[in-house]
Amino acid sequence: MDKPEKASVRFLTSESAGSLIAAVITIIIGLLLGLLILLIIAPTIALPAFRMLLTGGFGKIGVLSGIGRVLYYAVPLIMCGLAVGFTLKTGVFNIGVAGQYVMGLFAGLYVGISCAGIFGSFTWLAAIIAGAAAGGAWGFIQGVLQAFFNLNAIICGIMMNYTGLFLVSMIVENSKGVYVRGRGWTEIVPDAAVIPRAGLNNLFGNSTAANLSIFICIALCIFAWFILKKTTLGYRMKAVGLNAGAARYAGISVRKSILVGMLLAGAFAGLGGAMNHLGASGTRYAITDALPSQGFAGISVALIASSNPLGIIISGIFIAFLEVGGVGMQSFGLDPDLVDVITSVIIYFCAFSFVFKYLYFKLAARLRRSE
Amino acid sequence: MDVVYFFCQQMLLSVVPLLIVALGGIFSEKGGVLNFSLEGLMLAGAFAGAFFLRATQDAVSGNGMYFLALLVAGAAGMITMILQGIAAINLNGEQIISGMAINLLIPALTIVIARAVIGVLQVGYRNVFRIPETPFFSKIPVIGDIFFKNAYISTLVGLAVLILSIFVFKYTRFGMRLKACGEHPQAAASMGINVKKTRYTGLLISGFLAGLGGLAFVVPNATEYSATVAGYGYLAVAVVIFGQWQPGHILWASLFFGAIKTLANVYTSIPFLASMGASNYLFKMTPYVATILVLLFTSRKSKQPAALGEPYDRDDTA
Repeated sequence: MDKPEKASVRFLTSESAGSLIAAVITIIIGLLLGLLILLIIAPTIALPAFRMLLTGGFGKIGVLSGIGRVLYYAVPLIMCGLAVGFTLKTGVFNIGVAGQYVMGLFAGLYVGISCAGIFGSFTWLAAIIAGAAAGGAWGFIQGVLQAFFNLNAIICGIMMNYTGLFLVSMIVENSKGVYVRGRGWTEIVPDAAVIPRAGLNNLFGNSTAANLSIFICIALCIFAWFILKKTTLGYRMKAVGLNAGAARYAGISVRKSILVGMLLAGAFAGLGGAMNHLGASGTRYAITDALPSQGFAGISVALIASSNPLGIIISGIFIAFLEVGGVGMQSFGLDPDLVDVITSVIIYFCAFSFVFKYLYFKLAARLRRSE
Repeated sequence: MDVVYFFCQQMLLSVVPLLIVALGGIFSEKGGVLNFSLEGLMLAGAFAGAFFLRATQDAVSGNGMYFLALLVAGAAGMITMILQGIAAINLNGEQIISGMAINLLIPALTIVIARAVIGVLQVGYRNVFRIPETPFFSKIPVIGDIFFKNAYISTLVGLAVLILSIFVFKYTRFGMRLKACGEHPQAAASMGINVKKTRYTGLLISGFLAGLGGLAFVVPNATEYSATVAGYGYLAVAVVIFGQWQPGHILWASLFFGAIKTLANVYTSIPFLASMGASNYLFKMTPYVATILVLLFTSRKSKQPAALGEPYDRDDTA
């Protein structure tokens, strides 16, 4: 006779528990490989350097500045992770996040620098809304190319990334009052355009740039979770992601799902770019030919969390934590790129994380039988 | 006329690596395994090749060594490709994700290794491989000017790879079998073909060519390896799609993309373009916009292998 299962058993055998276990395993493998590389390239300082990587995010004991720094780093990572994860739920692998991020970053800076006289102390708000709009528009264009012209999402994303990057460089170069001629960078963001600290500076100290935007991130993740979990729109999007053919047969518009998904994802990424650059005072944007790394880090953030918007908050903070630790490793003369090695190894193992899930469920089933 | 020759010589520097790498791409994709990791493979090859040249340059140098370095680069690409093989063929994983992981892993890893071994992230070497004038051949009108002045041996390697690829897919048993694995793996298996083994072979050839192409890009276009191949690996993925997975078409696709890329690189040396006064970034943007436009017109009638990206599981046949 079946007896009602305890809540703990129900959780341990649920899909989310499997995802969680798989995520933890991929992270551990990534970290161990990072340690292995450290032991090979710098055996004498490997262990203290690795400790720095794992604890640098906490900062010094008794001071919360490390955590404040992590929360500042986490903002673009969470937003880019959300931009990847949200579209992944509709079956689109959004590699164009880097381009959407740059577009948002530029629109945010432009409004922040040139419209401070119009919006006064609300300039920062106008600027990040402009960032979201620009990122959303860029994502929407990509969505149109994919939905109506059948363009391969991956290629389309990559081409839109580079196009966006160079387009921004071109516009920045020709923007009077925003661009500093001969220096290759923009003016400093005025104080009115810097996002308020919301009291976080009292908690983490004035040296860190933790600000209101981390709360905006969390609110948006909850919003995305709500859309996917509780609304018809989200239900349709997930149906398209699971089986586009079946969804179309059931009368769901695949094109609409892709368009809405890309529009919102672009807005998330654009907002992330704007909030990152308006988060600290005294920042500039320097013209570059390299795509922003946050766009690609967003992929690992989303994959670790199995694209769950609430999980993305945690995995974004985790990757930010590693990045802060990686910066700390420079004091050992080591390259912070080791963090990129670790995150890409994690992405690699995410490609077949269902293997870990499968093994876990097999183990769980055996344990239950033996009870 | 000199401007035309100059442009053609410059164009070869872009076309040859694109051609080799994109041909590498189809050896994997014709067999049904997505190869999105071309960028990472190029980087792995370029890094290993540059390192090899750096290590041996004091003993021997010259074009013989460049040829050897190309082989080393190919081997490095091949080894890197095993990662994709494990994820895609052995574990039936998400091929785009593992490919993306390789693209992100290799640049970071090469930076870490280069910093640890030689102290800086740039792997420099004495670049003595340009052949200003090939004896005899450079005297041939037009062809001599384009192919045999300021030439690199990688151009000939590219030509050889092209001819071999056409031959393999058209006339050899292996080529036929590889295509069968990409179109309908279950049917191939029922004819006694070992699908996993055939796909692995294609994958390793793919890695070899992409790695080789990576060095063939870095040596003529840069003086050192600095963890970038300027997005050529991603362009090569577009060349594969634009070239409809056919070696012959891939030549035309590479010429097209190579021409646009070259225009972006050398427009300042071409008087009438330089006098337009357009932004540098407009030219940098052109290849990517052109890719999107071209794909707009070709994506609908795609001839991609039917089973591309689908893992093969023997249980499916039951």
